[in-house]
Amino acid sequence: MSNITTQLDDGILTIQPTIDPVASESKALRESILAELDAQSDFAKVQIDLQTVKILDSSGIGVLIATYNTLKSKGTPFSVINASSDIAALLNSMGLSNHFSIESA
Amino acid sequence: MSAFDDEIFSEFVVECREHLETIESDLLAIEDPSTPDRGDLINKVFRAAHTIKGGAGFLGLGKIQELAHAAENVLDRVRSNDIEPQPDVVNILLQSFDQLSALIEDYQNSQSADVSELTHALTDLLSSHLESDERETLKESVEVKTEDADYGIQVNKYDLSRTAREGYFIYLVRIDLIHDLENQGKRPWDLIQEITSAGTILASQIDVAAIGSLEGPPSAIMPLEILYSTILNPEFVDGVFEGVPQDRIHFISGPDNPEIILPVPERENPPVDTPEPESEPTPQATTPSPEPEPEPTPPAAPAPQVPEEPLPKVTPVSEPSFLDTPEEEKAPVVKSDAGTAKIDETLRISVPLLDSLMNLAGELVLSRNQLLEAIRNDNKHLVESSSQQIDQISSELQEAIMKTRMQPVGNALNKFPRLVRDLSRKSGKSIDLEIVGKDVEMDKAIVEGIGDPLTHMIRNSADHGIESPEDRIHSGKPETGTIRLEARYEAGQVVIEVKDDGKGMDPARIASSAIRDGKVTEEEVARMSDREKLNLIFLPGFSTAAEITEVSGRGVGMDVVKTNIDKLGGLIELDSKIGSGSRIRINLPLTLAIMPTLLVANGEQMIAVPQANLRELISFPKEERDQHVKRVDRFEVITVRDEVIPVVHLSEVTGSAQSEVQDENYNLMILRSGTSTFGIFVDALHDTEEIVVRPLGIHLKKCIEYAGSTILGNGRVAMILDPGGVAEKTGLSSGQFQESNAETEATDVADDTLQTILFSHNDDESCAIPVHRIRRIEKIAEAQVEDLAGLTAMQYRDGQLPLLRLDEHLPLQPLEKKEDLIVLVIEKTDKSMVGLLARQPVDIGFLNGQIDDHHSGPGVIGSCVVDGKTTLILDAEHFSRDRREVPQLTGPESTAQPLLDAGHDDNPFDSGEDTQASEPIRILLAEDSDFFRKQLTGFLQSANYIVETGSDGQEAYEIFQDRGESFDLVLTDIEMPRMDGREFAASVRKLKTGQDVPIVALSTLADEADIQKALDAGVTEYHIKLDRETLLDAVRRLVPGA
Repeated sequence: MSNITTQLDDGILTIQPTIDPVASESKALRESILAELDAQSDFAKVQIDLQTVKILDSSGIGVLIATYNTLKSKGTPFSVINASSDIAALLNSMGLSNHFSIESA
Repeated sequence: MSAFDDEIFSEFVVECREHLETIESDLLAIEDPSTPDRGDLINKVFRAAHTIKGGAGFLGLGKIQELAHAAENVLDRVRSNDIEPQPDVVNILLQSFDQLSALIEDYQNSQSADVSELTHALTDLLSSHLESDERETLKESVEVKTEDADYGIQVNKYDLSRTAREGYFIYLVRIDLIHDLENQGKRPWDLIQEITSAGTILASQIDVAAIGSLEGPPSAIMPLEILYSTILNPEFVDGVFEGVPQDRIHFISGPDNPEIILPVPERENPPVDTPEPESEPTPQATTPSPEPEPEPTPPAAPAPQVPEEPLPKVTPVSEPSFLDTPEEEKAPVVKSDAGTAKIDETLRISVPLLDSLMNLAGELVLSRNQLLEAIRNDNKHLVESSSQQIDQISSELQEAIMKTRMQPVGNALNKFPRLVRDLSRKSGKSIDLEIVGKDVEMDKAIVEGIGDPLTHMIRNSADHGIESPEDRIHSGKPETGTIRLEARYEAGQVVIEVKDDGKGMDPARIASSAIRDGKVTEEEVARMSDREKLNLIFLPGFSTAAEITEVSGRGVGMDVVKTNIDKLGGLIELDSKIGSGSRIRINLPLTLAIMPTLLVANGEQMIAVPQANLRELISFPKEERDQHVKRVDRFEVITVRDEVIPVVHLSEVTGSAQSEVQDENYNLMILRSGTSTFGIFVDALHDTEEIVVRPLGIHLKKCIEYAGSTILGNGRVAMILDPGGVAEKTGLSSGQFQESNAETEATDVADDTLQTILFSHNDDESCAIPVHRIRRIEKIAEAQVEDLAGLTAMQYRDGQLPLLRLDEHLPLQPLEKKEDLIVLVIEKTDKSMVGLLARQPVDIGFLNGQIDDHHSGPGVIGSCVVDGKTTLILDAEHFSRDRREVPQLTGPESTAQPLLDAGHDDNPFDSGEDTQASEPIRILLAEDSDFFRKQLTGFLQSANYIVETGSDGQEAYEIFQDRGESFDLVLTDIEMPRMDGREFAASVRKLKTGQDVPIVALSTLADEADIQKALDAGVTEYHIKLDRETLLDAVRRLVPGA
């Protein structure tokens, strides 16, 4: 079973992890996201939907940043949506909102 | 959003609300130089802004953070006396907190709000108070970085200096999220929570470049830099950053050396000196630190590692970048209900109170167990004792729970100083607001519910009540007007009064506005007392404001105030005196859910009466009913301490059959609702009981006499009486029972009292006419009065009504043609109508027989003094029979019936030619009142009877003794000096000539006992005095051939 679901709508590629992005899952998650970005070509923007994510650890943050870096090099905008309030607070307090948009649920 | 999220945001909103609650009053106090301890208040407001900024930053609410931050900066300078809290400064701050408050309540949409206007205003204000060097720092960012780092952290220079100046320790901490946290089994969230609980993250940054992309292998490091301010000195700060090696916690500055950052460097890359370790007074030296580096000099490890180059780096970065969220479009706030999160209401409860609740809950469980045990064992004694215990515990529990909901009314009042200040600035008036009784406690729901009504009342006072300074000086008042807002306990309720010393309200103006707007008719107004006219302002949509001002008169009227107060179970009363000011008084219950009531019986039915409306209970023996209860018009009334109060029976209200009173006494409740006071007889009074109010079902919504229902201890349902609805249903609140009535002396309703219509002829000429002959009072326009063939008339219903001008018949000045013409319509003896032209105002008056016959003559019975004015008392009989005044109208222009048709003018009481031919009927009249004697004589003579009179029972008796056989009928008053009507009747019956003669008693007293006593004394019939038709009818029935 895939660890993400994706949806392409109006040029926006939404990737929703179906697992909590923590250390044990991060490697597979990185691969899935990368594969998805490679597979899809018709998107102008990518957003990671954290709707179902309860826990985010350092590696998980690393996956978000790595995705951001990957897209940044291609000039594709990236954002995080539907973050729970504590995850949004965490990402904000790390200054990540200076790099990409973080929207709470 | 998860429940957990809800909780976090709720906590934030609740905490902000608490901070914002008193901000307004605090800022206003700060504005006033005479406020003691201004410094403390400034600190308090500053801390509020600081906390809001911190929380919002933490939760990613950038716009809230931005605005709070700007306000905090200004407050910081107010705190240091660099900015004087002048009204302009306070204004901007008030507006900023207003917007903050709105944003926080709608935090979900806050990111799309535009806060730039106030943020700029605050920044401009701040920068205008800064030295030019420091001003520059507002827009500058500096980069703070450690020696070994090749990237730095951006922070606003002004903020950094300020934090340093405030006495915080500032650290730059470098954390590796992989090594320091993940590898040690920790989560970043735990760290962030820990550090934000002990300080503030000034700025933070992850080295995103070091993490690489998805293509490469996961990065082995994730460096996070945090610029952190805290009150913790270097000795303790590592406790916060547990797991982070000490050498990565770099001390930047502390309270003793804020100048490390404070000096404003040259714009071009000026290095800030790294503090010398020697000069660093950090207590690190004394800290045994087994783990860290073996540096000999104590502060070496945590020494300020501010990099030499280039620190602080001046960058041209524009300031708010750290607050802007990328890709966020600036848009005005659009309130969207769908997107607005509902924050559950919360209450802070003191721990001792919670403890007592827990104790009581524990005791309740114990008693319940005891009761169950007792029931199982059928132990009656134990059942009784445990039920007593449960009774006591639930009372205490109820009290304790109610306490948790009690809040000081000050929570609702605190916003008013701001309101009044703003209103006075806008209107150019000078207004002081006095608030008394902020500590009075009420149920939370009521405290919240009275905010809006009070706001409207205070707006009204400021806008319509208080005059301009010039007008006040002109009328000899102090220049500054005062609005006094007072809350106090009174008889188990809370009374809130709004009182102003403004120009007061003019009942006439209010009444004419209400008529203008079609809210009431002139007829209704004519029946109203001044107080009732004032209360017209509570009618829906009422406004006297000639032009709508910005301040009030915007459509939300006093009707909404009243509706809101009604919803809270309160009463509202208005008093006003022209020139002196107005007072609005609100009586409110302490709580809504549980209502203290008195249970009363209506037959088998139990009714709960809210104690808030209960003024007093009166009980009197059955046999005394007649002494106490009188009849005025269609109302039964009782006189309580000179106040005449209308009464009804509860069964009339509920529509059930009146049951026989079992009690030996009559029980009467005197209730108050709005401006109405009235009594309700009940079958029996039971206990007072606190009841739980249940709303009425929709099928009962038309039962306005009930406010709800409740379930009693015995499981039966009791309806809760709504006194306001009762008053409305029974007509006791209408204009029919007036204050003027209520204030009438009890004696006025006694036997010799004449109820009259008082009206004006001209400004200094007043008249009265007995009310019983007036069929209607019509307001007419002057244009409606027509003069046709020398006859004055008006269109009336389907025909024309002949009009009489009093000045053509009486020694009065000609009627001035004015707007306020009225016509008093009198029914003539032939049942046709005639109108008397008169002028307003019209009132009801009770004349008690003190009539001066100095002015008497045709059409005038006499005169008396009413309200200091000589008033002519007109003889209605004269006008009703004086047909010569009205010539017969003929001619083609007449569309109506001849006004007085000759064919109609035969007197129905004339017995015609037969009567003329036979012996005239002779009547003896015993009546002590000159006035009534004349009236009655007039009636009877108009029907062609011959009348002889005696001025009391004794005199009449002597006449009858003398020639009793010549009288066909005797008429007698009841209450008379020397010999009353009953004695007179009894005495007449004892005479041989008096055994068969019909005796008709007349009185204004009309209760059954009186009638019975009179009948017992020998009276044939009993009639109400001045009921002309009945009287003449009686004569015709009782006297053959009459």
